[in-house]
Amino acid sequence: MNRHHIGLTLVSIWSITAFAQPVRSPSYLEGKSQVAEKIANRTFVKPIVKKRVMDLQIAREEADNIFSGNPVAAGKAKAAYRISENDEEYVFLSETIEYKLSKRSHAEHLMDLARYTVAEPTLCIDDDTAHAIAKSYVKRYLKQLPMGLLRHVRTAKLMDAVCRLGKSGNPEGETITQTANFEVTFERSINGVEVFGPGGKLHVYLARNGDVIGHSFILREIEETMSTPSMRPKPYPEIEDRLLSILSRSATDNTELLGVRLGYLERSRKTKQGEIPLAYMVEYSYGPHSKRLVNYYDAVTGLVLDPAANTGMGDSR
Amino acid sequence: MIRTICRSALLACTLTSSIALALDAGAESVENYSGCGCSSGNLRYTHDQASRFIDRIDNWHTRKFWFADGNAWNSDLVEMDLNVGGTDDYYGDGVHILFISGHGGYSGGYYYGYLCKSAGYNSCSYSTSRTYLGENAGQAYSTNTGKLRFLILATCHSVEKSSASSEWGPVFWRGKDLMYVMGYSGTSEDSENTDEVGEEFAQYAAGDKKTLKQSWFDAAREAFSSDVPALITHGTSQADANSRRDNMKLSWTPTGNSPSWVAWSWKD
Repeated sequence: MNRHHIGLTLVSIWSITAFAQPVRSPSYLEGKSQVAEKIANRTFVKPIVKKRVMDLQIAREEADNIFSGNPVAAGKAKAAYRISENDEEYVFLSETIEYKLSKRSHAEHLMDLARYTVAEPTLCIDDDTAHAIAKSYVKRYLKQLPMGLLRHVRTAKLMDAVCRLGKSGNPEGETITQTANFEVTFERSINGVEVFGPGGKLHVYLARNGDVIGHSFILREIEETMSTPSMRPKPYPEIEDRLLSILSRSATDNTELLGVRLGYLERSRKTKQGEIPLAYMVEYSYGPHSKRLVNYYDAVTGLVLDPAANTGMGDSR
Repeated sequence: MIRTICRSALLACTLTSSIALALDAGAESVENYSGCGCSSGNLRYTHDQASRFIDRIDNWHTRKFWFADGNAWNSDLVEMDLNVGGTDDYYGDGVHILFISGHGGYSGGYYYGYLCKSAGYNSCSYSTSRTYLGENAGQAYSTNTGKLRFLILATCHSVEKSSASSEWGPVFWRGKDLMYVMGYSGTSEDSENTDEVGEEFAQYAAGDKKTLKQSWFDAAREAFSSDVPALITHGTSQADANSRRDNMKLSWTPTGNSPSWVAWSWKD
């Protein structure tokens, strides 16, 4: 083998083993510097979730309070509620009013199903009014929640649209759109640190005329004695190295790191959590036709927090 | 009078059978794109989404298949009668309800889904330019008619809020039995937050018998990601399309009517 061949072989090996380095977006770089500032010379509390029993008797008491005192349910559910139960939750249903209590997270969900996802023929309020109504509802009817620790994060709208189809199913004419419902979301923080994931949220649902038609929340109760700061996170670059190592096996030419945040990960209503871990949340994508991938790493141990359950043993052809 | 009774009996009979009818359900998902020679970038939670969907809907309907990675073929969404290697009549269009999870995109007015290559269809994607789903006898490419009614595309860009009518209007036109498509506008998330979406949808739509609209939006809300869930259906008039969008359930059956309107929704 001459020198030319050796050179070509080395280039070939390099092209096989090297991988496209992900692009770091401006939001990612900004997130990285914010994370560094957040953890500098600081320790964090370890939130322990208060142990609470959720059995049928307690669930019934909660349901009785809702069906007698909450304006979404009271007066509208004239028939006695029916109770059903599965591994995950208690469900109380009376006419169109549905109330669910989660066994593992104590998450709560109340909805007037007749008015949810339906655009009623009424005038529509604006976003600011929706926010104000939602805030007032929480203060008055969800007094057990720490409203002072919840911040408004967004007012989403469920939008409806319709249009006529012409030849071969191609649209023609004007598209008519309207707001069906509002969903006002509040998010909690723990000792000033943001909480991400499906938990730590409160949603209030409104009809287009501003009537509250339901609420839902996943807000695990935290022990008050947890206030001693005790956790020191690993610096983020250590986590970044782990991610880059994973991406070395799957990155494409268009891989882009989109963002990184430090916060507490509060999980879905189906998950029993004894403590709420401090975590790094990293977002990336493989390009224009890619899903947005989100990985969580335990900020103290550096371990991946979110292993997938199913690794792909589907049916044979 | 006798005719009225017969009609009533027939209606009752039809309603009963449609309520009791178990739907055939399928699911396909890809995480390991590099393993099937495609370069889309590997994912982590699409198998969770698809397997949990099929496991849950199996409580009320009939599980036909869940294909993963190299067994999840783009050709399953490509019309077989086009003779380009499509296998939709056996799989994608051989069930009433289909759940797909993987990458997706929108380009040139068409939706593109990304599963794996197969021996007869050597492409890393399929697009709505070659989907004839739920086609009836007499419609184009209906030598083998289609069966699909409800399609869930848990991918990016599957029901674009600003162009859903042009994305799906022609597909509804080509297949009268395809009634409802659910998915996302813009990008969708792959994370532990979204791995329950398929299972939640199956529970709400099949178990709790809620409307498809409530089921899909509730399933997506549970994840609380920044995803924009969206859905689309069709009808013979504006009122019919609106009503079908708001009220359709899994128990609804195709009308055989050609679509004259499309109605869609999204949340953001």
